[in-house]
Amino acid sequence: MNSYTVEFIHENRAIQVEEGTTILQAERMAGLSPDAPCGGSGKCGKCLVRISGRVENSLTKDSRAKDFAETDFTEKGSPETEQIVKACRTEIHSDLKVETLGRASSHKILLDGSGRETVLNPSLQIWEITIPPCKNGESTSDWERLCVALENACGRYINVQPNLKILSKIAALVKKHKGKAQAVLSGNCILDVREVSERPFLMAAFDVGTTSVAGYLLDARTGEELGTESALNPQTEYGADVIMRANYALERGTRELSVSIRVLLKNMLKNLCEKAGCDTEDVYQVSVVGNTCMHHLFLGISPESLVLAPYNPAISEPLILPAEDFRLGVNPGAQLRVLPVIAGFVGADTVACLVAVNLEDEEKMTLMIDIGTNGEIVLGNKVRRIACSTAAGPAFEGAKIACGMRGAEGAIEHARMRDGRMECTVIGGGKAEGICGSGLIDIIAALLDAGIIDESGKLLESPRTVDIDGKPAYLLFSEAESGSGKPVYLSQKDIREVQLAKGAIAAGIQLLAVKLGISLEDIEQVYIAGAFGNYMDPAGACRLGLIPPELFERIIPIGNAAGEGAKLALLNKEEFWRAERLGRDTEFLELASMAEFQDWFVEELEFPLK
Amino acid sequence: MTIVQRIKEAIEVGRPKETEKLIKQALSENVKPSVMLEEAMIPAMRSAGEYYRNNDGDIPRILAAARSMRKGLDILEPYIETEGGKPLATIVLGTVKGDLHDMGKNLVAIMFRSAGFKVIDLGVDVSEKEFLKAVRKNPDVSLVCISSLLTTAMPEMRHVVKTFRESKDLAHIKIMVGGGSVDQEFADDIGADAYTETAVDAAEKAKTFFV
Repeated sequence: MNSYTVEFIHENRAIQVEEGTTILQAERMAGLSPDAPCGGSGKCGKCLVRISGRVENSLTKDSRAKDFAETDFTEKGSPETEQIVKACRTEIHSDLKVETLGRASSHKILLDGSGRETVLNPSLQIWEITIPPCKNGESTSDWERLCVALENACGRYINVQPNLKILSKIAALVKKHKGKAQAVLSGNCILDVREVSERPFLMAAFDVGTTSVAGYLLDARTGEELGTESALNPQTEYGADVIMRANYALERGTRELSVSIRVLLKNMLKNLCEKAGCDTEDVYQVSVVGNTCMHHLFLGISPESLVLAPYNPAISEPLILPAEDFRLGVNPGAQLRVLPVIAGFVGADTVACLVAVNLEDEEKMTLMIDIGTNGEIVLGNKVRRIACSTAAGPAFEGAKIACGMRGAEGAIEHARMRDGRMECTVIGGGKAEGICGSGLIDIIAALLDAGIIDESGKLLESPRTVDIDGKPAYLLFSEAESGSGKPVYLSQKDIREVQLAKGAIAAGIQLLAVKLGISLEDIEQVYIAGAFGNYMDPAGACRLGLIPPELFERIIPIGNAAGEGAKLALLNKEEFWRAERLGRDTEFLELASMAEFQDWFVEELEFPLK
Repeated sequence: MTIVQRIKEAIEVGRPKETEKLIKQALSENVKPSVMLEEAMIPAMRSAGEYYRNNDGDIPRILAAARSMRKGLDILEPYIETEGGKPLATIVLGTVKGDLHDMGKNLVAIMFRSAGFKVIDLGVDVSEKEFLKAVRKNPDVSLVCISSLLTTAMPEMRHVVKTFRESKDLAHIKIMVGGGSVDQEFADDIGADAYTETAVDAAEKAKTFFV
């Protein structure tokens, strides 16, 4: 029998195998830990590898891997030598180079998915102008001469609004620099006139989440991203979720919460600029997105209407406001751009996600899900879009789960069953301390596959099923094995929490499809936004029925799409107006009071049969 | 297994569609609605409640059971109303103004019905006036149950209880509160007569007022 050399590119390892060995076997022989939770039966699609080299015979026994292969060719463009195949179903009949596609590949997809290209066309413009001195015998005002200078520079008349703040600068510029200056404009607003220099002019985008805030610093000349920064939302001390924060605001006023988030943004701007070697004085435009409650609190609007039926926002329109009013420490003339919201529980962050995936021009029927405390779901395409929000609860953020934790060091982020034992991947590589959302999904999916959880969600007897506080639980790590000195386990109640959360999201998806008059099969792509979407294993999410299993191959994680949308709205002014249209023209479906929702919810509480 | 037993099982394990189908089938086979109700549906709901208590709060299952029960009642209601039978007591219930969530409230309604109460369900976003009106319109009402999920609706709940307490003609009315936002401390604080953590316990607690 012939033997061949298989080279694993990423791992820098090569081994000899006999003809007919599957790539999956070869990976194990080489000491790798390939992901094959279905046990090599070709079902799960998690063991995909990219192979190159001369390949013969039937490399693949089913069509699905071929589909994967074809979609990838468009990107790589070398169909003769490269193919993506399922390692478990592919026998080796020649020397091969194998590129494993574990985490690295999902990361790649994330960047591809979220970073939609746009033309650099910011509303923010800078013009080199010369303001002539006022001649003796004339009395044209400083403002008038500035306008003329601007017209000369741009080659067109701009009907600028007088801006008193910059008037006093004009005389000095004329005197000291012979009228040579840079004018910073956004549309027909002059934001600043300043000395001619090489100083950058900057923009900053923020995604204000309930728990964390992400900030991006952008160069308005080049569109380049100069830095990113993330921080925890300091409002957390006033309440973990939007309802608690709204409550606080209703009882003690909005101001404290508004100030707290504005101060954070100011500090983040300062850090971003310091790291990039710039001055906050040169930031001229700031965009902000966030869920409707964060949006209202940042703007200083009472969230009262959001949390009392019928849960309408106080304002939903896109806003262009003086940034100075929000004390962000940026240029006094800077502009704040706030993306629109859709409804009380479907906010500007969702609109930003829609901008990031450009649902306005999308032909394909698209499902976009942002899973956080509320699961916001949008279904539609360029013709029609409907959004809803489901009270999924924070189970996937680790809350309400006995050993739940955020996706930090010590959290089980992935798991699978092998030879009757749960194998867990722990963030940071150390001992497990708890379970984060993606781990939770994997663990439940593996237990469902192993028949240790039945489709009603009941945890059955198994060698690892134990009693903790008198209640059944599946023991992952005993006190001795865990990093915290406490056992790490999945309780029956945890499973129930997950059922409630996934039931709400799955029911939301069903109802949107009903409302649009389509079947789930008609959905051509599924975008999963947010950090959880990145780490979540699509196969597990489908196993649980969180995402309809028939859509498994259409899932694309898009990372922090809300942040991308906030950036896009600055980088191209058309994208800001796209956000306006998306916000205005996306319909909203209130699920809370729909009897059908409860029917679907109950239907979706069970786990799907394998 | 008889069809009545099958209805019972369908409700117990929480299969709304199957329940609907079986009840329709039973009606066509001339099974008495009162038999279905008393021998299948009510025992099923009780055992679902028991199961809930003994199985670490299997909320998904009890919700599914309640949904099945509701579907069944919707079909049987026209037949049952005419048959009558004296209820244990009549209750008014609703989700308080400012809140549209009613999953828990609906479960409470089902548990009360299964326990032999007559239930007047006012739905969601119910104002204090609507609660008062419903009670005054139905003199046999002796208990009002108020629910809210969102903590933001709690002040309204307090308000409703206060109004009832200040209305002399309604002094005999008992008030129970419940829902995701409520706990015993809050219930005591606003002067409610009772609170239970779960919908299953609510009906049992209410019985103690009338037995």
